[in-house]
Parts: sequence; C-alpha cells; structure tokens
Amino acid sequence: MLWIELYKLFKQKQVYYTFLGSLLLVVILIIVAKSGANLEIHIQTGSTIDLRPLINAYFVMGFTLTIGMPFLLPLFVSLNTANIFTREFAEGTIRTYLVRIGGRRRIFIAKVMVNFIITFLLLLFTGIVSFSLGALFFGTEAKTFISPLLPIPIPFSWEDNFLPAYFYSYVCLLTIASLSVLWSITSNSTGETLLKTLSTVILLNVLSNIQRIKPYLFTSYLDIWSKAWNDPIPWAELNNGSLILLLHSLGFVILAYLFFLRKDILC
Amino acid sequence: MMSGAGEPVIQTFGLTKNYKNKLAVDELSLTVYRGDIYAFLGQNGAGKSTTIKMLLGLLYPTKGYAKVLYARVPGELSKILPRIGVVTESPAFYPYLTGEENLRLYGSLLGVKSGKRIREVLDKVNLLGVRQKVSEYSQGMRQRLALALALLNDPELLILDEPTNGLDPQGIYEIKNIIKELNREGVTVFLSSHILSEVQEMATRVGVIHRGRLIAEGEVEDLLTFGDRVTLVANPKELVVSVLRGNPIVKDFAEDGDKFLIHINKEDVSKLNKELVNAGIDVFALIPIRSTLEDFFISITGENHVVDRALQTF
Repeated sequence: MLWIELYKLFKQKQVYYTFLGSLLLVVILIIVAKSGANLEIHIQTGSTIDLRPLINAYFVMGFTLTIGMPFLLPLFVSLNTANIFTREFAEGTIRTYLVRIGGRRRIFIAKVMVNFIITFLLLLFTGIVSFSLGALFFGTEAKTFISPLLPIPIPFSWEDNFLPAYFYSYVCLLTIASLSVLWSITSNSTGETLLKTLSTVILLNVLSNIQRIKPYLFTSYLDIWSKAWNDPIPWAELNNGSLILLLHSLGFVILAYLFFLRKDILC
Repeated sequence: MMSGAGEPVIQTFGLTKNYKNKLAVDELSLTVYRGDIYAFLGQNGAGKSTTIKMLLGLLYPTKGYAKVLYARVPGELSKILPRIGVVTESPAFYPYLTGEENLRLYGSLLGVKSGKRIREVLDKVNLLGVRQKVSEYSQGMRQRLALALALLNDPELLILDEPTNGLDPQGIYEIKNIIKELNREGVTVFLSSHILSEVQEMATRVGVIHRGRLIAEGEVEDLLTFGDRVTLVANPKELVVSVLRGNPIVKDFAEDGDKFLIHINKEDVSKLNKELVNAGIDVFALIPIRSTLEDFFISITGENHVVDRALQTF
C-alpha cells in the first residue's frame, strides 16, 4: 500500500511543483548573489564584511535553509500533505479507496508514512540542489562557512553543522507535516488545508511573543535547526526542542487518526 | 437466478442516521437474500445512498447496525470487501491515471494482479482500449469503469448505488444485461434507483424507502398485482364504443390506436366480455393490465411527482 501511495503521489503534477519551487528558490538566490547585489554586512564591531568573495556552495546551502524554512518549505510540505489526504476527500476517491480496500488504519498509516517520506525527499532535494548549483557557480573552495544567521566566517564541518542543520530542519518540517495531516482530515479542499496549517503556525508565532506561554507553543521550537550554526552547538537545547516537536507531531497524528477513524465520508 | 435460498446476505437492524438537523434514515430494517436482485427504491433524498454508505462503512450509523455476508459493518468490513463489488453514487477515480491504470492500482491491492482479468472486465463494460485519462471521461464512462472495478474481484455480492446514472439508453440496456447475466451466474445484486421502470424487469425483490423509512419490502411478483384496468382489442370499433359509453360497469375508457384501455372492476371483466359478444362484436383480446412499480410506488407513498418518467419509454 505504501508503494501505491507513493505511485499515486508522484503521478500528481502538484508534487513536482513543490520540488520546482525549491529549485526556484535556489536559482533566485544564486541570481541575486551573481548580480552583484549589495551583500555587505555590518557586524556589531562596526566593521563591514563584503560577503561576495566568501560565497560558496556551503553558503548557498545554508542560506537556502534560512530563507526557505520560515515559510516556503512549510508551504510546500503542507501542499504535499493536502495532495495526499484532502485531495482524496475533495475528489471523492477516498470513497472508492475505502470501499475497495477498507481498513481505515492501513490507509491512514500508509498515507502518513508517504507524507513523511515526501517531506524528507523535498528537504534532501533542496539540500542537494542548493549545494550542487552553489558549487557550480561559486565553487567549494572556501574553508570557512558564513553562517546566514551569524554572518561571520566560521570554520565548519559537515558532521557538526550541515547534517545537524538539515536533520533538525527535517524534525521541524515533520511537525508541520503532522499538523497538516490533522487539518487535512478536517478540510474539504487543498487550499483549506494550506490556510489552516499556515494560519496556525503564524498565529502561534505571534502568540509566542508572550514570554509566559512561549515555552508551551511548538512554534517556539520551529527554528531550532538554526542553532546548528552556533559555535559551540547547544546540543541539549537542540535535542530538547526536537523532543518537544516530535511529541507534538505524534499528538497531531494520533488526533488526526482518531478523526479519520470516525469521519463520515459524505462526498 | 431467483431468490428463495433463504440465506440473508445483507441485513440491517434498526439502522438510523441522524445528521445535525435531519433524520436521513429512520429505523431501517431490510433483508437481501442470496440470489436476489434487490431494488432499493426511493426518490432522491429518501435515504438510499445514506443507507448504502452505512453498509459500506463510509458513514457511521447513529443507531442500529448492519450485517453484510454475516460480517458486522463497519467493524468487520475489511474481511468481506474482497467478496463484494461496489459502485458508489457518482464514482470517483484518480483523474491523472487512465481507466486501466486505476484498475491496476486497485487490482494490486485486491490481489488481482492478472492483466487478463483487468482486460476482461474492461471489455465487459466496453472500455477496453480506451487510453484517455479518467479526467477526460464522460459521466457514463466513469460509471462503466466503476462497474468494471466492482467486477474485478469476481464478487458474490454487488452493491450498486444508481448504477445507470449518467448512461445513455444503450449504456443502460447494456448495464442491465450485465446485471441480469451476473445474477444468473449466482451473484446477488443490491441496487438502488429512483427510476422505477428501469429496475422493474430485472428486480426479484424490492424495498421502498420514503423519507428515511422502509415502507414496503417483498417479492416483485407479490407487490405488482393485477389492477382494475384492462386492454380490449375488438371490432368493429364504433360498436365497441357504443357498448362502453354509458355502461354502468365501465368506469372510464380511452381509445389507444387499435385497442381500448378500460377502467373496470376486476369482477366485472367477464360480464363486459359477455356484453361485447352479445352485441355481435369480435373480441380478440381482453387482457388485465398488471400494475407497474411506479403504480405501486405512488400507491404507497402517495407522491407521484417523484417518479422519473424520462426513461419510461425504454
């Protein structure tokens, strides 16, 4: 059933749009860097660093994450979730699926797994494309990496910076994907799923300005991946944040499952 | 195949579905026996589709329960799905796949991996060789594909919700033939329809649902009685008219080509025959007219506006 779900997903052109969107993000970033835009930055000491000579594949890879994680990648993840779940409700195919295959649990588990797989593939694709195009246009020679969040050249390693950054990004996107699963079960159109998911994240982000409730909101941890650029890396903070996000993911999926189990298929 | 084996394959027990402010199905208890072609009749919105969706586990009953092939649904539904075929109302398929790809997808999940079987069922519904994606299918083609999917696993029970919806007259004729042929091969058929004339000739048993309640159920033979109308074929016509006109036992009559349709009590038919013969009229035929499902439906629901007459001529 997992293969069938993957087959169905990759037969939908909307899925390719999300990959295309990631590619476009990287391409635009490279065009901006190549066009000689003002990439000087001022650091707290008052001095200025011209980033252009320092831009390399690692920078592009890291910067893609910085630009993509707050909005675009969650949007693409939600879109894929909506295609996996809501589209079946909207088009009525879930009805045929249920009366031919039955077993709501089997169907739900397969769909959730495919959702997590496609999220992983999207992030992997983003990483590979950003590094490859970055290497093509800027090379990989620099021995330092300019952290997009802390824009000073720092020594880096794949193991300590890039892999954790992408790993924790995946954990963050899993939470978005799980939230989307929950909303997709209760939505009648893909647009509704996107709107509900992104509104939830944005509203909770606004609420997280209230310091008293901030630790209790999962959105407060959606940027933990960026701590992988810190020196030294706060592993405890990263792991705690991840645990909170994973528990939320589990909660969203369980809730979605319970809704799906009792959902009347009207269409 | 006629029913009578006595083995119930579908049973509902006080099945009730209550939407927020609407009682869609009310304490419905029906029984479909092995070998039946059971026509589940009712106007649009009477509760037919809601009942079928409850039988298939798509909707959860507010009260009551159902058994399909002895399995309680929805709990044990997945056990019996491989033994049944289903056409739901407005069947939906993956629009980005062709009909054959859709069947392969479901076939692989149903354990039907043989391309031969897929081609067989597509051939049966006249879709073999169609390469279009389902998004380009007409409503009728989707309906045929739905029937092909229903037949894919060689079911012993077919549940069909308005199976001729959207089909042209030729398509309706073909689908009816397929249903009759499958029934002769031993498949039990439970089908819903609001076009009564369409099911009359093939149904062995009917159930009538009206405003969510089952108001009649039984063998078609028992429900369709001979009424108080007869067809008369006799000559000369002028003389026939003179006998009929003003005759106290004739309630009403009308000429219809070379025959007369006469409204008369059953008991008075032989008396009328004698009068016609005594008047020197050659009586070729005097045949009681059997009531139709439509007559029956109207007589028990008291509503005739619900009957779709559009296809009566077929």
